[in-house]
Parts: sequence; structure tokens; C-alpha cells
Amino acid sequence: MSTPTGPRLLEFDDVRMAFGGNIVLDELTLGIGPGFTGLIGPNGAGKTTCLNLVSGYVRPTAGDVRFGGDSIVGSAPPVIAVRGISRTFQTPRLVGGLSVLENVLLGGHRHHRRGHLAELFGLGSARRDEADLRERAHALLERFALGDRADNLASSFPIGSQKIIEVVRGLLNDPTLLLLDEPAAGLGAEDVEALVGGLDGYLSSGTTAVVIIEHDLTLISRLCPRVAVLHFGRIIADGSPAAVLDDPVVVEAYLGAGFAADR
Amino acid sequence: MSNEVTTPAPAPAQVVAAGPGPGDGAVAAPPRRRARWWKAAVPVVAVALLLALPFGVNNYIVFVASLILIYAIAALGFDILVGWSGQIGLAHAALFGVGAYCSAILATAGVPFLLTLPLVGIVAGLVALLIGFPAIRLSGFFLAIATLAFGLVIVEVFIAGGSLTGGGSGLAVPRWSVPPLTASASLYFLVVVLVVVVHVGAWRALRGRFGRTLQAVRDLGPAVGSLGIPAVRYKLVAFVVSGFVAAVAGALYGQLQSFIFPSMFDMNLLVPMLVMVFLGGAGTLWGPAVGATVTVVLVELLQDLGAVQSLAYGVALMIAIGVLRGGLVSLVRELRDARWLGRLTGRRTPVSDITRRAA
Repeated sequence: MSTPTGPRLLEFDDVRMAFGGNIVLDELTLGIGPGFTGLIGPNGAGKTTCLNLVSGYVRPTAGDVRFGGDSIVGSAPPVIAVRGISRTFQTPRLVGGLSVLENVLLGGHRHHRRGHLAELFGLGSARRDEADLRERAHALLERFALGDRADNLASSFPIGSQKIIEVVRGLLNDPTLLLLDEPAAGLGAEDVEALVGGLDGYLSSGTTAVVIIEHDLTLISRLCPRVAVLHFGRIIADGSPAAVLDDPVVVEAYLGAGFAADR
Repeated sequence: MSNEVTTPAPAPAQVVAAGPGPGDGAVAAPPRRRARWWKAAVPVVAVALLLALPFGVNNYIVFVASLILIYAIAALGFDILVGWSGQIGLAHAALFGVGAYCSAILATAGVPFLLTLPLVGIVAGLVALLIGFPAIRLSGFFLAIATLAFGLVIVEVFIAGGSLTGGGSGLAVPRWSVPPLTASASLYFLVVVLVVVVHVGAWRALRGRFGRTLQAVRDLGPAVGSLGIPAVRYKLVAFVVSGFVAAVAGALYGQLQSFIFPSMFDMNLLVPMLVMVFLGGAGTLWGPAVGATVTVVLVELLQDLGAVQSLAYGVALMIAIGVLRGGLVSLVRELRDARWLGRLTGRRTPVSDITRRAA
């Protein structure tokens, strides 16, 4: 993984991000291709800021972010999502008054080819789009072991399940890039299995790139053949999980200089 | 169920305890099928009763029924903006007035009344779009103030309109009728038809993708953008739709009153409209109609109370928002799902049934 070749799906090119005088990311250069990539680092390292840059919530102070070769800097979040980038949030953002299925359907917004007037008048193609998406949403929920509870209100689920519902919602967008912000935090062992099983099965067939921010290093090791470590806004290590977690620089960043020296 | 109109706050601990158990879906199936049968029959019977009403009652009742139904249309439009899209836009009464004035002016100029309905809808929709522009940047309290100011300006325009609007002294509305019927009966039947059209349209739109997308725009904040949903466009569409509906209702109101003047469309109308939406149930489909009915009937009953009447409005609004956050519509469900009532009727309350939204 140390020699990236071929076109990268997502590229950070010398990105600098400062909020006032607080520099969050600096000289960040990172290319991400298909498959799972873990993004780890201590709290405050700038991981979530990376996701916010990609999904259009913040603009880099300097540098460029490219998706499929084109710069996405300055594009609004909906425009970026329609290009095939989905994401989840650290605290799940679901509509509590809607069912699980309806929440998931929200993720399929870009696949509706007809406007709301066509739906109002019951145009055939509009009805077909909705039916197709419902079917696909159901299939995805089955994959993540939520199929039997698709009609329950989203607010009736514990936070762990809400996170999985959010992942499913992201997948209905058919993303080429999926950004997961701490998907396993707060999940029970069973939920983690449902999440990993679902993601693995869904993505083994495709060319989708997945970026996972996660503190659970066991999960990262299981899912991601490649891990990048962010520390004070810079990439300090990039490679296979085993190599990265063994890197003294990483150990020092995570556990402090004293621990690294003792080893 | 109190979650219906609220934001999707991270699930608190008690939600975990109320999580669904295995087998709930199977329990729920039979009662739901039975419910579907009478759910289809209720609207049909209701419309039949509404159409039969003028044949059995006096003119006063027909007038009050017309007023209720006109307010039901206007309040539904208001609910789409306030309840469904979550934007406190307070120009609704003024837009209602735009409909009344434009329809009267057009009809005076010789345009057939029925044709003025879509025309005033379009005019008010455009005005509402203008009023909604602050919503791109503002929300909550600030949006409320900005839109309220717009509404006041519109009422001032009615006053300053000179011979076109009749200024402060008002404008006579040319009455419309279908020859064999009286003007009030013609209007009543037209209003019934439009109430049905508007509610069927809203039902189709709001229980489908449009409704769920509006709810997402309302509840998810900036996060909704990451779903590919252009929030600003939906917010503006909500303004336009509510303005269109308000103006159509306003045109009907002008016909009903046969004389309109500016102060009809100021705070004295806006507050009752808010009461209708929140008392009936904001963010529901039938809440506004229920709210309009209760409000108008209360006003008619309390007419002799004078100043106390506005106090009653305030108290109703406080109760609706403070105690019954889902409005009167949610009261039906609260009662149905209440344990003591369930024990009384032997009805079980399966979790998956609670999860069905009252539409």
C-alpha cells in the first residue's frame, strides 16, 4: 500500500485546514482507492474534519480535495452526495418520526428520476422508481439483520442500531465512496457483527471505497487492509494494520513517548 | 409517540428499554387489516355528509361550515410550512389576504371567479417565494420575525392600495353563483370539493417521498445535505405551496364574507391560524382540519365573551403546545393506546402498531 499506483478515487492534495488560528490539518496528502481504508488517530487529530471536507461541510484553507479526478472543493453537500459520496455521523442523524424503511429511503434521493408532481399524479415511472427503491432498501435491511423491523419507528431503536440504519441509508445512494464516522462506537458485539457482515458482503462485489474512522482497532484490523494514522493534522503512518500499529511513531502518538521508549 | 414532531435526538436510555421485542410484527397483523377497511369508509361517509349538509340546516350553519372548511384548507397549507417543513413563517394570514384581494380585484375586472383561484394561487406562491428567501439563511425565531414583517408590509399594501384595494375602508367582492343555487350554496359546494381536492393531494404528497423529505429537512439540519437532498429548495417549495393554498382559501373567504378590509388579515387572523395548526396537530394531515373545526366552533360558542375570547385562544395554544405536543389528533392515539382503555376494550397495543404514524 505504500506505493499508490493508478487513479485514486479520493485524493487529499496538500490540504491545510485552519479554524481561526487553530490548524487542524496541515500538508495532508492522502490517496484512497477502492476497498476499506481505516483512518485512525487520537482524539482531535482531525479525522472528522477530513470527512467534513469531503462531504462539503467545510472548505479547506489551502490545497485541493479531488473525487474521481475532479476537485470537489466549494461544492455544496447535496451536490457532492449526488456524485456518489455517502457518509454517516458520529451521533446518528435519523428522522425519529419516520420508520426505519422511510429513513433508509431518504438515502436514495438521487435515484428518483421524476419530480414530486409526477408522484402526485401517480405517473407510472415515478411509482416504479419508488417501488424499486423500496425493494432495494428492504434487501439492504435484510443484509444488516434489520429486515423484520423495517416498519418500526427509528426513534424506538437504541443508538447502536440507529448507526447501522444510517449506514444502510448511505448505501441506498449506491455510493462510490462511503465515509463512516465511528460506526462501531456504542455498538454491542452482536451489532458489530451485523455491521461488519453487511458491509463486507455488500462491498466484496464492487469498486466502492470505504473510509472508516474508528477507535476500535480490532475492528479496523479485521476490515481494513490499509490504515492511515492522523496525528495533529498530519499523516504519520500509512500501511497495513499490523505494520502501522507496530510503528513506534504511532505507538508514541497513541500512548505517549514514555511507553514507546520502554518497548 | 410524543416523538412525532420532535427532532431525532440521540435515543435516550428509556427508548432502549422500550425497544421492540421479538414477535411483535406477527401480533399486529390482524387488527391492522380491519383498520384499513373503516379507514377507507370514513372519508367517503364524511364527504357524503358534508354534501348533504345544506339540505338539512339553516343558512347560519352553512356559513359556519363554509368558514370551517375554508380555514381547514388554509390551515393545511400553513401546516405544510410550519409543521411539515418546520419553518415558522408568519405571513400566512397576509397571503390569505392576497388571495382574497387579488380574486376580488380580478373578478371586478371581469375575470371569472373560478379562474381567479389558480391565478391568485400563483401570485401568492410567488410572493411566498419572496417571503421565503430569508429562510435560506434564517430559521426559528429570526425567520419568524422576518416573515412576520413581510406579512405586516402586505397588510399595509392593502391599506395603501387606493382605489384598487379600497384602502382602509375595504372592497366589495362580486358574488359568484351557479344559477339554480344561491351564492352561499354554490360557494359551499365549491369549498367542499376543494377541501377534498386539497386533502387528497396533501395525503398523496405527504405520506410519500415529498412528506418524508420535508420531515428530513425539518429534523436533520445540515446533515440532510449529505443525503443529496437540497434543503433550501425544499424549504422554498414549502413556502410556495403554503402560499398557493393560503391564497386559494383566501379567495373563497372573500366570497364568503362578500366584503373584505385590511385588518381582516392581520394578527387577528394569524393567531387563530396558529391555534388551528398546533391545536389540531402540527405535522399531521388531519390536524389542521380538526383544529379549524374546534377553533371556529369555540369562537361561535364564545362570541358573547368579547375580550375573553382572545384569552381563550392563548390558553388553547398553550395547552396544545405544552400538554399535547402532537395536538388533538394525537389525543385519539394516546387514548387508543392508553393502557387503561386497552384493558377496558381488551385491545392490545403492539409495538409495531404504535410505530405507525397517524396521518
